[in-house]
Amino acid sequence: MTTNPRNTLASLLIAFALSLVLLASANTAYAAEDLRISSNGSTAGYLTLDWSENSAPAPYTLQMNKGNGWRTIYQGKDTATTLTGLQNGDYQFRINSSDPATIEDDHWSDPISVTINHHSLVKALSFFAGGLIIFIILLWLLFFAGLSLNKRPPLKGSGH
Amino acid sequence: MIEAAILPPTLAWGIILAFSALWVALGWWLGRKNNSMDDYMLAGRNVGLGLAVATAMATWVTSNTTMTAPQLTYQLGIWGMVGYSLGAIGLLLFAPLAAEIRTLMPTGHTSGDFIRLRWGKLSWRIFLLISFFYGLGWLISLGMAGGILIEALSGIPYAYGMTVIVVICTAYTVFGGLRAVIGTDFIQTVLILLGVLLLAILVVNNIGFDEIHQTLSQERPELLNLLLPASIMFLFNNLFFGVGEIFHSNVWWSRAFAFAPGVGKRAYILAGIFWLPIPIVAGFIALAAPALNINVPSADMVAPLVASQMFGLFGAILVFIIVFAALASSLDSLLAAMSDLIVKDIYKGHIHKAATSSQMRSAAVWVILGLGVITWCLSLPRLSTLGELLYLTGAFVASTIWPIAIGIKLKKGTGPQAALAMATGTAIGLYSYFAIGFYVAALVSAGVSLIVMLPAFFMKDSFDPSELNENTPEKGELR
Repeated sequence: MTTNPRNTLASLLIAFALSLVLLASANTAYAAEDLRISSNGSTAGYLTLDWSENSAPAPYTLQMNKGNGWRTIYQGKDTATTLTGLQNGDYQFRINSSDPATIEDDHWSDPISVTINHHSLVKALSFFAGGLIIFIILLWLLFFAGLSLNKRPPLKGSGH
Repeated sequence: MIEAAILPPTLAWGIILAFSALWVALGWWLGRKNNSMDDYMLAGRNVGLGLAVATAMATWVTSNTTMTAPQLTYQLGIWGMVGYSLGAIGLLLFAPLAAEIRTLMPTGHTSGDFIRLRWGKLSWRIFLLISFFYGLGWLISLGMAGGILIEALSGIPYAYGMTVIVVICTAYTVFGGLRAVIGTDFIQTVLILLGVLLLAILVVNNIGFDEIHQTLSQERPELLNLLLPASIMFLFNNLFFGVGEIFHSNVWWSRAFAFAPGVGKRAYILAGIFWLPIPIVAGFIALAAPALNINVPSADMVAPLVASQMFGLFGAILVFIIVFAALASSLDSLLAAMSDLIVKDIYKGHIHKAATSSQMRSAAVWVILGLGVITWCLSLPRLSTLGELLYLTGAFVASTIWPIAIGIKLKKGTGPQAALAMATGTAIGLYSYFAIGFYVAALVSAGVSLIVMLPAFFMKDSFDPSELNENTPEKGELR
């Protein structure tokens, strides 16, 4: 097997740097003016929405529409919220100032849309089964496979 | 500014200053007994069972246990909480290996020593990179956790809290080396255990289970769903992440070398058993967030927000002390272990092969300071949530499970095979992290690494274990 050490090491360095960049850039999936999804776990049923402090005076009202009309899900001074445990479906969100002095119906942000679509159960159980098999092999190796290097007589004249 | 922050900033600063002074003073006091490089790096290789259990447990109870376990419960529901506690398997499986490691390599210093002697230089270099990236990721997550905790509880800006935590932990690790780290771990473990016990009592007394269940059923039904696909995928992912972390990391190997003969196996088993319920208790309180109508701006803030909302000022102080102790005990351990690895494997192994003990001691101080600075720089931008950052490193560490386990248990396999297993496991694990989700990266990495190493099971024995012992052991060192 021929493996160039420099190439392998360089690849790992690039992989790490790239993954940090991707991690940072993965935070802007969708955006509609002032409201955006900063963490999108649409295949696991969670997402984080955030909005700009400059978009409107605090406090804020955040509304969600799952096809059955708009419903307020947060009112307060924070500029982000994390929703979890969401079921499959299409969701819309919009933000407005809830300051009684300035609130106006036509100042709602453009709605942003997200589709929650969980992984299939077959896919999930396949990962589970794979994990179980790997775990059983590991237990077998650690407790039954070998007598360990400590308990075996050394070989003569052997190396890597 | 977090609306639900309950701790007055002056009180938060007071607690930080009091505990910081305690850790630095202890670090100095414990470190004054260090006479040699072995004293500084491995606490004289004579740590007893009580301290050994405490340090293993305190190091494994990180800010991630107290903040990421609730995050995963909040995101992935019941299995998120249970899955996180499977991290204990790593400690339990490492227990028998710890005993073997100490016997195989009585004069060893780092996990890198083992990989170099067992699998050769290419594998060693890849392993060092993996270990470095993992350590850095963990350090960043700890620095971030400090900033997030302080911001969630007191409203003090993230950057200030993160800076103080990183500076304090770097300071007392520099003063005392591993002896100080293990000594402070003991006190931190007592604080964590008492705090978590108190928190569990408060949870039982203050939360109505019916109300939590009813709210979750109506508003977050998937969190109660035992067939939630992502959480099913997460179960073994977290198990292999924990196993990979412990099998490869010098944090655990340095303790295996530091513990007195016969102590390692019992210490890791007891630490694993004691650790198991902690993520369950910590994670459970996250499920109360919807019932309490708490807004959670970022999933990794859920634990301190719920605790302060439920238990008021007392709860906020309690959580503050628990998490501060937990993250300090891990940050110092990681700084010390990474510094060992860099000094022994990179400085002495690659740069200055004739380095004397005093030169290595001096280099260790500079390395710890440098790591502190790098941690601060990379924690400042708050790249992601704690959980997502942490599981990125899962892709790296899970690829080392098979090269380590096969390396210790069998005389089979080749160096290039181990190198390929780690490189491809990491690469495909990272791909799956972005293509599927953070909850499968470690599982995929471990699976790919196994596929590459699988032929080793059928090869002929080709390794002489005596090659692992670089120096002739002194009489009395072997059990």
